[in-house]
Amino acid sequence: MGEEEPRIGVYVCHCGLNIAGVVDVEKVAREAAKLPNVVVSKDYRYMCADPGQEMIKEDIKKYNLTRVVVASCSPRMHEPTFRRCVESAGLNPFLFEMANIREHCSWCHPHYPEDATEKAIDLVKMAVAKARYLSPLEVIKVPVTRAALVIGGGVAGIHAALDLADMGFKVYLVERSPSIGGRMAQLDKTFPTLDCSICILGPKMVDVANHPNIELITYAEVKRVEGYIGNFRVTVVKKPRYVLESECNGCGECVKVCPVEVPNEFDENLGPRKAIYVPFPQAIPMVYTIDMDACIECYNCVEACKEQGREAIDFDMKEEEIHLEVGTIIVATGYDLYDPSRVRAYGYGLYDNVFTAIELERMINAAGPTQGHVIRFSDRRTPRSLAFITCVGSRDVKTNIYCSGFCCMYTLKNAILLKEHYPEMQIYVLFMDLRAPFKGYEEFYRRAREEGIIFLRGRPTELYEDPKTKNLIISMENLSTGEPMDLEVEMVVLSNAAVPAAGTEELSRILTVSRDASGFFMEAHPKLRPIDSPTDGVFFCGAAQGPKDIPYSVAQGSAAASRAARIMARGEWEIEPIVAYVDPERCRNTKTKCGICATKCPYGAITVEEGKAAVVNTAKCHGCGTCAADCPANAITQMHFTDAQIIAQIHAALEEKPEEKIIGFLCNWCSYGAADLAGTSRMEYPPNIRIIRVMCSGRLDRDFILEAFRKGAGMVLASGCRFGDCHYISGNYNAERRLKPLFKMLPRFGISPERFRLEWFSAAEAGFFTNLVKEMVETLKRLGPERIREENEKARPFLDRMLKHIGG
Amino acid sequence: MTWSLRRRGRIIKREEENRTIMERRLLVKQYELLLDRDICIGCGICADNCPKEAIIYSPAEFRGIRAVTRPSIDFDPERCVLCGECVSLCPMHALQMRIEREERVPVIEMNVFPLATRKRW
Ligand SMILES: Cc1cc2nc3c(=O)[nH]c(=O)nc-3n(C[C@H](O)[C@H](O)[C@H](O)COP(=O)(O)OP(=O)(O)OC[C@H]3O[C@@H](n4cnc5c(N)ncnc54)[C@H](O)[C@@H]3O)c2cc1C
Ligand code: SF4
Ligand code: SF4
Ligand code: SF4
Ligand code: SF4
Repeated sequence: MGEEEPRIGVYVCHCGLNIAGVVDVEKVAREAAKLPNVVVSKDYRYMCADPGQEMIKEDIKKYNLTRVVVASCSPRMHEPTFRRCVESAGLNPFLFEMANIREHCSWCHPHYPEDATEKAIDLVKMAVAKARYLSPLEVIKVPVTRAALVIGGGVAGIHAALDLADMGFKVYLVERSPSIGGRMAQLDKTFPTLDCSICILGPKMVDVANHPNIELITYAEVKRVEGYIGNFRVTVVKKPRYVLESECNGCGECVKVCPVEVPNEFDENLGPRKAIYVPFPQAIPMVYTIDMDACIECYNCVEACKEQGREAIDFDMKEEEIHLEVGTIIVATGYDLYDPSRVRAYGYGLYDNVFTAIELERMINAAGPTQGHVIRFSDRRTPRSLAFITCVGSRDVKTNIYCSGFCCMYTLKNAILLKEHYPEMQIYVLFMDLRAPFKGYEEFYRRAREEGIIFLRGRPTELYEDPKTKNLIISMENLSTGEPMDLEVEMVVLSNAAVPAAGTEELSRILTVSRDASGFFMEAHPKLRPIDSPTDGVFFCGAAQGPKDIPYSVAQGSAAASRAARIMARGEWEIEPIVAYVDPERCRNTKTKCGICATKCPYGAITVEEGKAAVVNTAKCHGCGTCAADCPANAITQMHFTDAQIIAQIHAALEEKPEEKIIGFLCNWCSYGAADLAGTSRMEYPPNIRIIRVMCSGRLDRDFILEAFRKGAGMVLASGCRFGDCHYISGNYNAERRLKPLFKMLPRFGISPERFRLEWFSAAEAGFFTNLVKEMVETLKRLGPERIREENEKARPFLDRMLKHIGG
Repeated sequence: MTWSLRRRGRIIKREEENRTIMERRLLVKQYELLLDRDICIGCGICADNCPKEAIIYSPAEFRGIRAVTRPSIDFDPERCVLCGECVSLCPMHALQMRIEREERVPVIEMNVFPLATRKRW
């Protein structure tokens, strides 16, 4: 609290009849006026409308207000509006607090106007109590380096890099393999228009090579990322390719004399390449690479290169570390393919003539190892019949439950292409469901059916090889007829699913971003922030975030570029100041080794050096408050969600009839959102609950729960996002670890464990929230106020002792 | 990217009577390295000279002064790159290399002998 007593203004909104139709707003305003430090209290029809805001601004001047409380809708709705309002009247925007008496009160309790009014008064009381402890905060401004790092040079990364470079930003494009291009470079034609893949991709790759703003770093990987939005320091490790990029002119004379042939990964190992190679003729950069695992150091290539008048080959080349400074990072690392040999029943790797779709892409490609001929492994003859099996390694609980998105479409594409090349070939597509949404896709499906391709519905259960003919016999249930059937074909092609690219896990650690249940990178919000990672300044695009076809990947590449440009264009960036602060006087680490905070912070925002107090890197801190709750010395404060503020809210809520009340701690993103949604959906529940908002369940100190019981609360709810959905990566895991022991602890004090609930639900689960409150009120009734008071009395001496540091 | 499906193109080693056969089958090309164990005397020249250290040499085992097994060699299919250096050096012609069923030795065709050149460097 400041030196002077705070001067608080309270404004109760009618929201037309939305609030005033249920809650006696005048009474709320009258009661608020009686609260300590409140110097003015008013009610008005629409506080958010201009006259309402003007009223606040005038009062700030007239009454010299130092805090403002508005009781109206959810802070998730209008907190920014009112913050701006008080700021324009010269008050620090963080000296404003809101009481949610609409979503959490009038809308959910329309049939209990008196109880709702009482609850609204409590909610205002809680807001006023918190307001007394508010302190002014300054928005943190950090400078932004006007350069971006793009990781992965597939079609998505290429587009992101080109867009940013065209906007005038410096771009470093880091690609792991010797050439950019990604999977698209391997494809033959692309659905649904059947353009030649490399013909449309090639020119873009050349643009990347020639763009003055792009620095292409291939055969390299990101090893370390430090810093924060606007100020990332990146370490890239470039593998030696043993050919100098500055000297090699791509003549390829070395290849002719190299004696060693190994399988070419780019051709899915169907054909050979030399130990010195480019993966494909259009590779960018057009620089050869020596594969040291294959090279026998005969130095024939060195001689050949010399004969061309060059000295491009350098066997002394070493791994190189490159240090970059960038303001934003775009991750476009794409996907890998599911290893189909893991589905034993389909015999991949066991039977010669079972192929994968990407192998077929290379075969059917005129530039591929077979010059466009589709042939069998067993006799190099074109098959007369061929079956595609879809959903291999996807849409199956035994492998991956997700849909791989583009497999249906590429299966149709390849079926049509085969029909064009070989009109006589019998082509079957064995499918569970065929998915062809988006522009031109259903038309493409129709075309496939018209071209005489046979579609059979069912998931093959087994596949055998005829040892003599090497043909394949597929057993399946034909779901259209319900009959089991056997199908003999000369070749089988498996549509195997996209899976996260190798190294995704490591990269997620390097960037401190999360992955979803399937292992792909997880976006900050599935609908409204589909490109953003949870770490500010880091973005995703393309198949790295989940299987995506080319148009979608390209669109996301451009979207990621614009999200990154939004930050870099400004030259500086503002960070919400609701960050953590370590009091060096209290931090234990100065005396004994501690550092617990640093291990718990999901963003690695805390640095702990031996003998020194821990330090929070403000720009990296996301303000979840996990460290504040976990610090054993109570040395950490989360600004705007301080212990004093939260405890004041608890006390205010429990001033009267505490045994009838439920204190609910809800996280801003999920559980508070669910309570808001319950309101907007007009779901009704008993008015006993008093909700305290924290940004993340990770903020929930065990002391808060115990303090609520000490003050006589009937029940306490602690809640947050579902596991895996936490907006601060792992806050809810920390909360669970910390709060779960309470179920064992409480009975020891004499408190029935069912009076405490720990629940995880999403912002969409309003029904779950409503039922939860109903259930808790049932428990409250079943136990009865007498018993609750008794239990609380019994527990008080223990709790008083444990919570001495809180006082009161 | 790591093209993760490594199964294709691996060298598979198998024993057939007194022969060890190392075979790599690509869709468009097939390679074999054959060792005839009846001819091999276990001199170890190939093992000493293999540039990928893909040949494992086992010396003779003795009981007293009597050798109970002959010295022998074996291949490591994960390391061999089918260059044919061993074939070109074997004094007994116990080794043979075939590409597409035709007898061919890449290092001889390209006229290189890695070890010799390495010394020069
Ligand atoms: C058989 C088959 C056929 C297809 N046909 C079509 C079609 O006809 N039409 C269509 O629209 N889509 C098709 N697709 C889908 C298409 O391949 C993808 O939409 C597209 O490749 C996604 O592009 P991307 O840039 O996100 O990822 P990718 O193409 O996978 O590129 C990712 C790049 O990042 C690099 N990388 C990975 N990890 C790292 C790292 N840690 N550090 C640095 N670099 C890294 C990779 O080497 C690669 O170059 C097909 C897919 C398959 C399997
Ligand atoms: S030195 Fe290596 S890359 Fe060069 S020709 Fe010889 S085997 Fe091939
Ligand atoms: S734990 Fe949360 S509040 Fe604490 S420093 Fe890390 S991000 Fe900030
Ligand atoms: S072929 Fe070459 S790599 Fe293989 S064993 Fe013989 S010398 Fe070694
Ligand atoms: S060089 Fe020939 S004879 Fe000597 S060990 Fe090798 S294979 Fe046997």
